[in-house]
Amino acid sequence: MSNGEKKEAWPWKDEYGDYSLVPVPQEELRSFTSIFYVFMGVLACIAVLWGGATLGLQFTLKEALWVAVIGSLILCVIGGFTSVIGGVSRCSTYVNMRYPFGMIGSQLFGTIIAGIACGIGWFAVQTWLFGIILHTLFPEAPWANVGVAAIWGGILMMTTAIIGFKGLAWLSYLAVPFFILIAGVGVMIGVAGAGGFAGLAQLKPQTPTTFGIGVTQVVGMYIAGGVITADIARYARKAVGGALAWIIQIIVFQVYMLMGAVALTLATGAANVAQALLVGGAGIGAFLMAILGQWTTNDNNLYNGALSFNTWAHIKKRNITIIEGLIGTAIAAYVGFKAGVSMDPFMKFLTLLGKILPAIGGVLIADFYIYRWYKKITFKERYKAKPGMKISLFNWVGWLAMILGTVIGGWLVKWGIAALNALVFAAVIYIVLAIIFDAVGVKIELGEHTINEKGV
Amino acid sequence: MNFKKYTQIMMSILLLFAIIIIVLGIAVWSKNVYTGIIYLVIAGIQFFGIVFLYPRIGRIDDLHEMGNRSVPHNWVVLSVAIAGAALFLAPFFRPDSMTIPFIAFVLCILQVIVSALNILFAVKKVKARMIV
Repeated sequence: MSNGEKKEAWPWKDEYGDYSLVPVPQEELRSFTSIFYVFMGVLACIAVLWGGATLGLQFTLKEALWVAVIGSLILCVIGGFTSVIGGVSRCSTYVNMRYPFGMIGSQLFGTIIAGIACGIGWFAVQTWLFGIILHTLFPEAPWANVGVAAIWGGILMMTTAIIGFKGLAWLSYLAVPFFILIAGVGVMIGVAGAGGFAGLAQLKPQTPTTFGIGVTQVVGMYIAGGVITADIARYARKAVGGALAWIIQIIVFQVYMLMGAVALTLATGAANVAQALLVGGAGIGAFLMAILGQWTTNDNNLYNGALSFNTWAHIKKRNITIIEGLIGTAIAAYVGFKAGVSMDPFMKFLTLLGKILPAIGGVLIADFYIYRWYKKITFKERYKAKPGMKISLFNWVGWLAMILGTVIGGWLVKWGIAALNALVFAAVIYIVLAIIFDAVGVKIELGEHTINEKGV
Repeated sequence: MNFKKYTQIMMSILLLFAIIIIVLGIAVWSKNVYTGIIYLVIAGIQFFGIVFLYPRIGRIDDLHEMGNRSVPHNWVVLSVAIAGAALFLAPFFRPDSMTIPFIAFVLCILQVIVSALNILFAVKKVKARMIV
């Protein structure tokens, strides 16, 4: 800070840890590299490689490249918008949701989409998948029994989430370069198996499908991450730094990793990337990929979940992380020990919960960029919380737009990309209703709550 | 020992290891092109990660800032060395003889140890941030 500048006093008290309810202070902001690495840590997961493997079963190499690029561009736009919101407010997605949904809405929807879905549900599913992958790689090893691996894997994944943002960054520093290399190894094994690039480009997919379905798969695979980017981007030194980190990781590295898996699948015909790598000769690299890939993603699930629970459970965020981690690990181990039990019904339930996420993102984007502009609030002052400020309990237009957007975009409209439809419909409905009711003098925000210095 | 001198010596050792792996990569290129590529990519990332640190710490005298600059470079070497250790012995990258992969593997393990010590030293001695 220059001599002439006076450092503004930070008026908050971080009672629950990791700035879960208060803005991140200036001295805790992180470099572009750190933000980029943490974003990459979420991306560097087996799910992305499996997504690529699915594309490999459906498209030729050239088609898959276009599908990956178009899908990634859509994610760039969504995540770019939400990242800037976090960069300006310095608060998590669930605290930002207080503005377009009211205090109760942020607690309720935050808990549904991040607390229950990510923090417990997807954490359990990924931990169980971790057990499945290890068991596939080492079928004879007792430590790789699905239930046993789920227990130690779950505990392992909890450790970095308990530390908080620093833990996520630390692990990402370790895992991300490795994951980038292993995707490259996938390409090499694919190219070698097909007898060169020309041979790979000639290979036909097993179950061809349409371009639109492919783009939907790419967008759907990561739109949840795109909506909650503020959880990480709030730490970026510059408001646009988080957005830039997000865009680069999506358009460059997501496409790259998807294509690594596409090449591997086209050449081997196997959709299980870990197994394909092992069979292809990646050795211990396949094992490390299974561990690091699930770990870097699942600690983010726990982290985001704990942030959302903290909006109403006013205990240390670390304790919330431990509780949700233990519940998730117990579910994963239970399913793992019950041989033959599938997680499909559970995953369908979580997917159902996730259907409201794009609409929430749409309302958030519309409120921040358009409604606040219409209300003549300067860009830097939008979503700027201060101790003692009043916030509504219930923003009924936000709720209505979210519900209608989800139903119309997610179910009723049969064309386009469902998640993107829900996001756009919710945004349009919110902005139209909010401006109309504002113009005729009908209050859209009901009730009042005063924020204290702990952010509660 | 002076932190600046310590960092420069340690980075020079890491640089030497990276150069040896590059030479090994060139040596195996004719036997298996994919092995050559992975050796050169891994050692190349490490090489540039280390080389770019010299001018960055050469210009400054503040030890804390020097530590902050050194840490991310060591993270790059550390993580890429882990990848190297995992991949160099993999069946897909094995040339005819196991001598070269084994040497490269040992060098990567040494790089993991040295770069981890560098990070630890920077954090403990000059209070550098482990996460920048």
